[in-house]
Amino acid sequence: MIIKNKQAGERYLSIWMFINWIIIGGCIVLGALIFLDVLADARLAESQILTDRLGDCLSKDFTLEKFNSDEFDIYSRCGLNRATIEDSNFYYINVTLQETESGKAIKQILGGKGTFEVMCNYQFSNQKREENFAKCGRDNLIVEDEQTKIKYTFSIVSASNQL
Amino acid sequence: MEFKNKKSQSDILSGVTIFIILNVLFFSLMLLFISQVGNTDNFLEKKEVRRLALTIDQMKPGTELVMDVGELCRAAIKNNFGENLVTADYTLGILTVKTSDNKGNSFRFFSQLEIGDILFDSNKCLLTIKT
Repeated sequence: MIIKNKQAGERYLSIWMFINWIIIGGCIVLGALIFLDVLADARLAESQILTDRLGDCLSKDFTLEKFNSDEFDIYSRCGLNRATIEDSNFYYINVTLQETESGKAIKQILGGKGTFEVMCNYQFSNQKREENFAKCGRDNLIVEDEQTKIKYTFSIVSASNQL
Repeated sequence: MEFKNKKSQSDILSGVTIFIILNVLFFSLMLLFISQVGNTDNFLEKKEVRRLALTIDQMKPGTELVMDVGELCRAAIKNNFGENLVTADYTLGILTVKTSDNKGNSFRFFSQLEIGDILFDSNKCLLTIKT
């Protein structure tokens, strides 16, 4: 009984208590750092902005003739930096134009890191976001040719993996 | 026997007291860490460079925007850093924010900008962006 009483005070300050504190402290530090990293993750916002940007500039004053011509450059048309999109390995763009009524594909423009296409398709088809994948945005826009008044659909997919 | 019991009781009491003090100290330190971790210069730079780059990319061509970057200026003054806080590499599309002599935080923007489109006014602590 006496021996037990003597050990009672030490019970609160045993090595296990300190190990316990270290584990709790480690979890709190790790949790805070992960939380801040998540806060600083701008990939989804960036992919949405890129999608909106492409949609805005492509739908403005749209004519099939201009879009189909050899001189058409999506980077200068949308005010995008070619070097950033093509060489940084952080971005991907995929613009497909098709006739709205028939669904016939007319032209496709691809840019950036092609492997992001697989990541985007996987996330879109499974309707979930994978943490280690590039984040993707997509939009479908119906535009009218200013000259012929025929309706076309733009399918835009863009991705960002800039952390 | 009574003496021994009193001793053991005081042992328990002092053990509990030290345990409580250490616990309070530990959780106070943890709270202090959590409150400070988001206020570090590194995190501020990281947050601001993303905010600025995303703002640039959201701006429609032909827009001019003046932004208050007072938070960055206050951090730079605290660190005695007097150089340009916001710089850009227009060819590669890289924006860099620095509030001290460290390498700063960089983030890419995909808009095509020309030299001089991003101007930092250190006196008024304002950033002018033209797209």
